[in-house]
Amino acid sequence: MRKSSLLAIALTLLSVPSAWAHAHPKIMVPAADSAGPAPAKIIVTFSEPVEAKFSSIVLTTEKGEPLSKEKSVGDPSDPKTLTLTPPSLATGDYLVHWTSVAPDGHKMQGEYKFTVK
Amino acid sequence: MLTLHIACSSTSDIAFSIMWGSILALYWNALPHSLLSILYKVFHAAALTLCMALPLQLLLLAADMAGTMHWSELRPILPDVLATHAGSVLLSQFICVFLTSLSSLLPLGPWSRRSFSSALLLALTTFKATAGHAASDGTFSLREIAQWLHLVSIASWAGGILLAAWFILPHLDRESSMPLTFLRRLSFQCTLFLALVFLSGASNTWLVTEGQLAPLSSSTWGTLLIVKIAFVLFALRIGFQNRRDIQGELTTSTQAVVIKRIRLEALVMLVILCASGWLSNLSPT
Repeated sequence: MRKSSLLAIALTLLSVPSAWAHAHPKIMVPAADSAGPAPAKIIVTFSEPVEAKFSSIVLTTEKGEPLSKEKSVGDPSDPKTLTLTPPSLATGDYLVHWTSVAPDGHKMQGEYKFTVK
Repeated sequence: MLTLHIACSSTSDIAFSIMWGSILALYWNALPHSLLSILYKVFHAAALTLCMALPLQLLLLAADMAGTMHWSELRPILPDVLATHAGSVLLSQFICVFLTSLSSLLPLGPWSRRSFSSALLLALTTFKATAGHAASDGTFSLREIAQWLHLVSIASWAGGILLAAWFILPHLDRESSMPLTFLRRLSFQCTLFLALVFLSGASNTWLVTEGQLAPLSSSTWGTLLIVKIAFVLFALRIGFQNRRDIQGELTTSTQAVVIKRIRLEALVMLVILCASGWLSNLSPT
């Protein structure tokens, strides 16, 4: 490999800033696009710790209508995890809207679907 | 909002680099006495700039978290924002730069002033190192140490060049041997810190990415990073040419060329620091 290519690769590695990791959902219960019985709890574990006060998970119907006013809570023993206790869910499709604020203040949002059979 | 974020981050990074450049110049660049007071003024002006940029960064952070820019909605959540990791780190940084600015009013001797300024800059750097994702591993982690080294080395490299181009070289007597002595020391400083940039950056990247480099080629973030790398390569080329030219005796014409190149390198550094400010506000995925 030519010296210039090696230099370019080295610089690529060295220039990666601290923005690499934002808090993305890593483990979701129930899983995204899964189908199964109504869950007792909705749990999202992010790729890194989140600020629980400014992070949330909200459950809505497929049309985006909120299902309860209950707020998600952080897990004191695991700062990467948020939990929401949903109401009794009938058969159908549901959306979980998540918002994460990482320790550096970066905010991310997204949603995923699951089905109750 | 993103534009404001980038402007604030870039301004902070430039001011921080100038603070490091000034402190290093005060310690070992063997500058004439007349320049020392200019360096202190530059150092305190950079601290004052940070004093203004940091509260704005805190407001932007609060606006991000709350999802609103209205002051009436931001004001009640400020205590909660200050209680977050990012908020408390910004507050700690602000206290450091506020004390630094305040110290310019104190009747301190040269040794006390320099030591006090250095201590506050080290504290500021420590808080800055815990501001990013390095904090995810907890306090005093290996990632924070790598980040600390990375910040110091980049700020010393960029700050040395910016300070030289804007404040030192215009005030040096070009007929004396002073420019050559200064340029050789500056070149050594940049080479040393560039090596540190490589080492700390490599370990930082390894710790942060865990070997996943796919986003480099598939996002706006990756494209911007490549643009930044192009400018880093350009700065390296300029630095290499200057290092080669100052090895021997410096003729008046060569000196003029070298100084012109340093001014160009300072502009390239500004682009690099702005690109870094932009990158730190983007998600790679």
